[in-house]
Amino acid sequence: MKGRARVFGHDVTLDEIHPSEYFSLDKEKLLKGLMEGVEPGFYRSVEEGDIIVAGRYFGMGSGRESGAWAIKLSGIKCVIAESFSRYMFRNCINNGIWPIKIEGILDQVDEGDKIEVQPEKGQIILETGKELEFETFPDWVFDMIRSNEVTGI
Amino acid sequence: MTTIPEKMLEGEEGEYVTRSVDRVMIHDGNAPLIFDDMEDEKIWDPEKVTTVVDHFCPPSTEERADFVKRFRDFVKEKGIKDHAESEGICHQVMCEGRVKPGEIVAGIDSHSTMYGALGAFGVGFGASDTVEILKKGEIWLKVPETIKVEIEDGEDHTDIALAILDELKYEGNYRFLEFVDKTGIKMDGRMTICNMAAETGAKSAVFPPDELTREYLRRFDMSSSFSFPGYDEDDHSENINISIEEPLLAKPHRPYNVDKVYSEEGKTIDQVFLGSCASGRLSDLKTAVEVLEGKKVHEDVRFLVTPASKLVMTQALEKGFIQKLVDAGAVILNPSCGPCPGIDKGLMAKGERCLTTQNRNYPGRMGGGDIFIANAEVCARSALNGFITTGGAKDER
Repeated sequence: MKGRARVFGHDVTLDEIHPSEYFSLDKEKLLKGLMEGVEPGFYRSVEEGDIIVAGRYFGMGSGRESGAWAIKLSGIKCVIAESFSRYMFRNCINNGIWPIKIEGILDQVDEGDKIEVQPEKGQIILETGKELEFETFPDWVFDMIRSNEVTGI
Repeated sequence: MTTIPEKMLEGEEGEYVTRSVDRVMIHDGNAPLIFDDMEDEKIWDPEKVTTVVDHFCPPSTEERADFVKRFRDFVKEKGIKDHAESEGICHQVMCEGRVKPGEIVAGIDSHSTMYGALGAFGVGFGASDTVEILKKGEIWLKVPETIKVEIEDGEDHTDIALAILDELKYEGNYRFLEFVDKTGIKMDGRMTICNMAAETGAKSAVFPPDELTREYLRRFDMSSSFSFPGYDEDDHSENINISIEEPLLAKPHRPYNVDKVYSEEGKTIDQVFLGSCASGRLSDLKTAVEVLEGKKVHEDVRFLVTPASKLVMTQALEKGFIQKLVDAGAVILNPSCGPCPGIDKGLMAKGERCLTTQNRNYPGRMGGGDIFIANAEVCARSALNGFITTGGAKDER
């Protein structure tokens, strides 16, 4: 899995990742809400395979799964963050989005950097060629993410 | 196994367990996300499910009306008997005769931590996890670490909740908070504190059940005998002590951005909102009435009050609180989520400020303005003056 880094800061709340006014079952409306609370119009700039990179507590606050749905709808398949709220972590797993925890990631990645992610190896490779390790998932969580990658919304 | 979550979830700290669930709460605000996945599925035990319409209540758009319509159909199709529409905010409704000590209660909402006020393990889930629970009656969880929070001093429950946030910030993420109270907090206050534990990121939180819990259960004709799997026997790696000297407030845009109210004294406000699942209970309304009786809120302030449930509304009517609040200039909204998550009624323009007893003050949460969180007394006093203050009214208008 290889993609462009889309960088956000620390403490990005779910209400910013997907503001409540975009709550809908209409896919277009759901998608338009993606990151609208931090970067209006973000959805227009997303390319298939982009990777969100964020700081600590990505997705804090609400547990509305519409946020993870919007991420999936946009074609983003992976979020690398220093830490996740427990809701965002679980919602990612349940939607086939790889929630990868790497301490200090924000200091090492710039917007637009190419990142390669190898979930099986527990490793990512930065644009500079630098390799970073992460604690990979228990087998059953790994299988859950894989099986949810293919199911649609 | 020595900590409360170890006993309640039946596993060692850090272990993944699959735990059966005793009760499930689903509200209209997230229910639409489960309709498709549940279409051909049976609920493992419809008797254990409570459905609540409180977010789009009543609906403010045709799309939301459609969600509520489909939710009603879902409830009937799946054989759910305990459906509460327009009865109040889901967590309050659950704490009025449904949740029991010792139970594992899953809610499709992050403030499900509130059930810990009654000694239950209240825990929130997203839509997909809720679908799993509805199908199987069980869910995987990691047994959380426990932080013991000793409440040494403090008069108001919102202040205590804010002091805990000031101490923990979001470090409660994935953890369990066990409260030890030395101040005599009543049940309304326990609910506020467990509710706002969600703002530390906590998976769950509890006031271990005691005589106060029994007394509360009796009020709802529930048996005061319950099975709580045992109290904590451990010395935790992390203990925090809470003690409050003066009223606190959370500044924009995080609930843990806590300071003394005094630090914002004199800042003008456009709206005061007393409500949400974090408050809006009888004691909060009483506190506001004591400040506002016979006075009028400032002409530049919209003062919105949402009793947390129909029951709270009824009790407040019987006690004359509602009339006194209306006389003081309050707009009484129906028991529902309303302005707190920015759903309807009482959103702000950019540049406006709201002082509220609710639990979250994230950007965009209540429209375009800035949200400050404080206790009911500070909210009422500030409503009179038109600015943030701990003091009384400048004049007796």
